[in-house]
Amino acid sequence: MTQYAFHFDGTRCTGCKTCEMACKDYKDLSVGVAFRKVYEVTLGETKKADDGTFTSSCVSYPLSMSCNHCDEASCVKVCPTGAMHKDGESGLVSVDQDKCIGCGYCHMACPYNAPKVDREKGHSVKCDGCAERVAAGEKPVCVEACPARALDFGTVDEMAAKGEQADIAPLPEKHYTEPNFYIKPSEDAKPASDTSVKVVNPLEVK
Amino acid sequence: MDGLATALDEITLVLFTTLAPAGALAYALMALPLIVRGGTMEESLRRRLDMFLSVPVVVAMVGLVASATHLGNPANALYVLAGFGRSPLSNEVVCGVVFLGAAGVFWLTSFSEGAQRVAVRRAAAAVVSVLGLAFIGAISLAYNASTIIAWNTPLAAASVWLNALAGGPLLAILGFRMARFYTAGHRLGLAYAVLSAAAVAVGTIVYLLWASTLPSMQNALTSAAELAPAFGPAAIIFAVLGAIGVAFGLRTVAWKGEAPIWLPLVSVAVVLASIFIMRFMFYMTHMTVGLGV
Repeated sequence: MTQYAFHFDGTRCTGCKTCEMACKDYKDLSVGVAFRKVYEVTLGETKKADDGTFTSSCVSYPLSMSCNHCDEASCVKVCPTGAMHKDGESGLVSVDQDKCIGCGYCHMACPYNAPKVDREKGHSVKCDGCAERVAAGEKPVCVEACPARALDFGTVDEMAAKGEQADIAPLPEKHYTEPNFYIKPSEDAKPASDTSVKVVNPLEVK
Repeated sequence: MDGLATALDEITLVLFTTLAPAGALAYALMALPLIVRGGTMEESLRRRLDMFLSVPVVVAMVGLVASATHLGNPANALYVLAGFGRSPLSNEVVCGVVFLGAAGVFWLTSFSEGAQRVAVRRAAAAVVSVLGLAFIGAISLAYNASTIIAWNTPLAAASVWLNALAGGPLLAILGFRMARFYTAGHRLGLAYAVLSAAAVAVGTIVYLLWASTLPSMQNALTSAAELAPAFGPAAIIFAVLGAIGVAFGLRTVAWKGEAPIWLPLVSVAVVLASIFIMRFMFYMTHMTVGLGV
């Protein structure tokens, strides 16, 4: 099996959300559904001094993420029907809509906020790594669309050579699901265990 | 951000996890005198008890049917069997279907001539009761996923059992009343009411303990305490309503002669309402270790 993975370059991403929109367009996703999301991660504080001046340690960095096609995917583990499955050839995780009952347990268990039940369709939906494009030798549409070339996709060995495995806040520690997501962090990024960061666009990424 | 939307989205699961554990435990408690003393019990009394075991079954079944309504595509439900032993949700559904199926067959056969075979009925009632307990166990572990921090605690499983122990005995008292089944000095009914009272007391402690841990359960989006800010006060309401339910249950079993039916009905309705509130709180707290809420 060739396990595929995503790479995210935090030193290049501007948070423009082109990846998210390209995915929505390519997958024809309705309002309220996005397979790739850009999280606006913020930390620090602004203080007013006695002399009336302000100092700030506030920083913000974007994190573009879709499904991480984890080795120990929690969505696959909890799925009662086996609809959520990992492809034996590519390692990509996808939903078999002919088996899914739309119970939403995958959504509840995923720590990367990837699957979601589309109530109109009656089953879970999520990023499948643009499996048909990958099979045709192309990269996922989000990767191709990124104007800053902050995203990449390839075999796990190729992506691992470009960054650390999912080790920036606000991601959970990687041992939970062993995500196939590798990151070159920006200068301001905190490690995954850091609890001081906040996602400040919760309604956008819900 | 709060968890109200999550709990409202999962309202049918709130109902299911309120009714099914109480129904399954009430079944075992109602069947207990049949299993232990069915051989010496007066025939008409035994048959009434036998038939009215349908009361807790209906309660549990309403719960299971309600849970099915939240599915996006119930037509694929048979695939759930494929996950038995692997997925905790499959375990829960399979245990529920087996218990309710067995209890349904047991009830249907209570009308047959074969229902005269007391030894068989007693053994069958014992088997169905064990299946009911297995169902409660499966429900208690259904959301046991390491990534769901708010629920990945032994308190989650304990609360399901305590809810069952709070509601089940009072539902069994209602079943006894409907079957016009009484033990000498109402000892069994009294014991069940005391069991319910103890479960409400311990349950309240568990919920308050749980509420105290919610602020420490947090990710970059929110904390469990922010998602369910009323969790602690709701535990107090659980205690008050539970105590009222127990009081009505006690009044039922202490009644000289046949208690009016509304007494155990109010008892069950109030205690189930208290459990419903805490199950609602449970779903409000949903969050993962990462970015899921």
